[in-house]
Amino acid sequence: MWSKKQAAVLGDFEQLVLFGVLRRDGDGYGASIQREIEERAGRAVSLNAVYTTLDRLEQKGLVRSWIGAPTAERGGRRRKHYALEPAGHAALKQAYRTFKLMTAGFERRLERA
Amino acid sequence: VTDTGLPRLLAALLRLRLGGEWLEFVLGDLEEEFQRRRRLGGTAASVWLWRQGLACLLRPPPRLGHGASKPAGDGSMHSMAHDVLYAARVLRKSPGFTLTVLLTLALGVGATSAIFSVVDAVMLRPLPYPNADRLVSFFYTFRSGAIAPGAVSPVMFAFWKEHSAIFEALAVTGGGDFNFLSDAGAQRARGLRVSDDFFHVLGIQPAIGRAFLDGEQQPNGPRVAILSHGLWQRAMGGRMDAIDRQITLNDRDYTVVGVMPGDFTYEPQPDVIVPLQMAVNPADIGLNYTILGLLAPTLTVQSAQPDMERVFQQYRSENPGHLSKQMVGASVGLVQDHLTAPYRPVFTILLAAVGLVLLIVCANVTNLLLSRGAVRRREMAIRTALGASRGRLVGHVMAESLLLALAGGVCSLLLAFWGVRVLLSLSPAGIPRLASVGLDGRVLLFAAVVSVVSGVACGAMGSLRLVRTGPGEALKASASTGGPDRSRQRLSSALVVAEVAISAILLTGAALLIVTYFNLRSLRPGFDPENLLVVEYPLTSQRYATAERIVGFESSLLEEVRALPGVLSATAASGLPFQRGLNHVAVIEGRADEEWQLIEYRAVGPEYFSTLGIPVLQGRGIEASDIAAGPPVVVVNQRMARIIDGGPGALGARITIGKRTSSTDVTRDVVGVVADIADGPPGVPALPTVYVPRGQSGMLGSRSFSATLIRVRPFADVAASVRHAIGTLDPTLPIVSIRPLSEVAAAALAPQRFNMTLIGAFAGAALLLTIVGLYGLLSYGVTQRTREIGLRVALGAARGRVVGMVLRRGMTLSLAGTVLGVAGALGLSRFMSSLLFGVSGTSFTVFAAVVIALLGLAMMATLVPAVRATRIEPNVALRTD
Repeated sequence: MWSKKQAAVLGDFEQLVLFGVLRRDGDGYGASIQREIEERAGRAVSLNAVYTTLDRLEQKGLVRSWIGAPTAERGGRRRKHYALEPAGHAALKQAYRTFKLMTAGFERRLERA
Repeated sequence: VTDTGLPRLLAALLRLRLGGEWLEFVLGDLEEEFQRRRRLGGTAASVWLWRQGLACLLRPPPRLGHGASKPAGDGSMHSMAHDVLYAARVLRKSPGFTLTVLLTLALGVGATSAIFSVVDAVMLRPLPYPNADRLVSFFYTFRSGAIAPGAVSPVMFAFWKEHSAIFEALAVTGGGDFNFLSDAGAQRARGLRVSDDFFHVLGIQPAIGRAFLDGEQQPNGPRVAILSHGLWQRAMGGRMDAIDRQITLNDRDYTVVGVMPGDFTYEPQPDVIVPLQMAVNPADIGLNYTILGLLAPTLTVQSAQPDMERVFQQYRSENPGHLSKQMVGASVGLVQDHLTAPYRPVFTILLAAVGLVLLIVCANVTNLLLSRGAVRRREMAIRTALGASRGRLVGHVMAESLLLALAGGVCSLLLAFWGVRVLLSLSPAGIPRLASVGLDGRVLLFAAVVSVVSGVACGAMGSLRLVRTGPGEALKASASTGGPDRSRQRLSSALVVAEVAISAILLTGAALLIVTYFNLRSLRPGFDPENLLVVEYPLTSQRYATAERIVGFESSLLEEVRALPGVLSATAASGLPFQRGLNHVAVIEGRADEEWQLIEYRAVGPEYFSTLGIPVLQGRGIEASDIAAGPPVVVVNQRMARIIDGGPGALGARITIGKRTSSTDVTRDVVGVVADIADGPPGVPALPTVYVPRGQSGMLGSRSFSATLIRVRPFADVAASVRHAIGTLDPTLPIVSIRPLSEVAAAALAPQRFNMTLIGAFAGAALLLTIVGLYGLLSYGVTQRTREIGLRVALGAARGRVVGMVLRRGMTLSLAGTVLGVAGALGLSRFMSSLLFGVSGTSFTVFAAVVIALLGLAMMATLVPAVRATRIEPNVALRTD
């Protein structure tokens, strides 16, 4: 366990975006991730913030990106897709674990509030 | 890549702001997601789109792969960045002030930019041809001294080509629309017939294929055509093998030899270009062809003049009787001037009006900065006392102004964007190059310069005074009396006087145009234009090559239409009321040929007068028995009847239409006199008009334009049935329009409505800004003088005197401004005389109304702070500060 490399610590917004990428399961792109966060977490986030964060996460090696083919519904423009890298997975797992450990025993109280 | 679905402004701004690949991903995301959300709800989707778009504009994602950017630069840049940040903070702390300034600036700069974009596209930008600066057409000088653009006859063209030495190339063009038949059905195609040097003169060649060859210009030469890029796309799907294919124009086969470039524009924009194949017939002396010349490279419009004069006089002496005696000279003028000449007065006045609004905006912003400056004097004084250098303070103040100016400029673009749309939707038909109006780089640059200049000028006037006073003085002044700062008050007062004066000028202009519009609209045309439906169709194809065929088609159509439920009567005509008929000449029997008379020629069918409701005063109207084989007859209007013999004796007189030079110029009996109707352009009294039976009119006036006029019962909707009837009779005939005559009448008034609405809107904006400015100044004065007023009231001053004091100040300023404004308006209104109808530029009523309205509103703006002054409680007032 301790021989493994320490997983990256994520900021709150980075977490949201990474979860968005995870939920879109391989076909995530800016607007779909933005919508995922907006619909699920009820947080109005902006596209530019999502892209800025994705760019940063990519530089940290947590996600990778590739460019799709142009489509008609985008006016002939291409999409930039994102998917989780293993390090991204590890960082999310770590964040989830921390969250669970820190909330253990308080679930009912937190849910009620 | 297109921007379908995305607002063009947003896409354009994003394109400026986002670099490289982000642009593609972000625009793509916005479009895809917007389309998806629009299915759920239009408004929510638009809100989402603009929110996301603006967020991306404010904080675009970092450049790909570069991570967060680091601030760079030397110390002075640092301090400048610091100034800007500080300014932003200061402005955010007083949102009311900031918002007022921004909105005011946005209004001024936005309106100015919108007007500029139209003026730029229509008048300033050179025509899109390589030799635009040498492209000329003919202007004629008339005995009255007037100079107007004019056309030429074939004889004249040939003569000039032979005798003139100033042109590198000379071409003529003619119009004439086509009935274009394709798989998609019949449609009307705008035609342009050109002589051989046309492409040389313009300096433009077809993008695909070739221009016309010499042999193709012979009369009855081969039928070849060059398509516009648009028609090539629409009708042939942009096929590269379009060359040498056959198309059908007016039932005849033409071979396509070329396609024009996509950015080719011409006024009016043609769909098809064909060879003119003009025959030089000495009898054909009508000035019906537009001339287009390319001056030799070394010549200018001025240096070409002697040659023009020489050839004109030579032509006149060799061809007596060809030109009207009224024409005394000819000159060349740039085509650009020819195209824009009719619109010059309107656009000049619009530019002036919007410039005046901008001045008011600047005055208001300056006043706002001045008032705020008074409050901030202490802040500045303390900072100076603490050791801030004067340069640093100037930097702060200028950074604030600049920031306000730039933010105002950005807001103004939104306004300009909507403004341009409103302008385009209001603008009357026929203004050249209107399609190319838009917010392009030139307009953006213009808006940037205007907003920065006005913002900085206001800032300099309003705020620099702050840093001029010494710290001790400022601290003392604001701490003790709280009294007004005299020199600041003087400047503010002068600005308000100027605002009132400018408003008075604009209001006068607007009032004159409003009176003009309603004068024109309330003109009784002399017939009943309500419940009349007009159907327009071009009878240009081969199957209508003779008058018999046209009449044949029309009588079967009328027969069907008259049988429709809801139709009271129906008739046919070669033109519409409220639009000009054919310009022609007539000679009255018993007078010399030289005494020909200019007339308005209208070919009409039976029941024309009863359908329109024009009273037949003497004799009879046009009847179904007036066929081609019958005795030639004509009905004239009162004005023409008076010209024939001064009144009642016109009946039975004989007139010849044309100059008796052609076999078709037959002599006709006048069989009826009808009432004059105002069916020409608005405001023009009835012209001498002759009504010739459709069946006897030959091809005159029928070729390119025909219409059916239908009198219907109120609320009867027969358009679909009429469409069906025409489709059954001739499925290849395109219907140009089916609309009520009231729409034609409204369209004829569109230029006046355009002038009135725009100047009215500017005057309204000016008035609003002025009243707000006046109110702000007085209200601020009352606040500043709270202590003084309180003291006066405590010492026993009556409330009435306090009201009087504030009122006197406000009304003195307003009165001074009004007097100046009225003087200015009296001086300027003569420039408007060409736009007015039924009202004099110095109308006492109009001026009185403007003065009363302006002073009344100023009184209202003054009363509010005056009454507030009386509510000041002495004990509260003396404790302030």
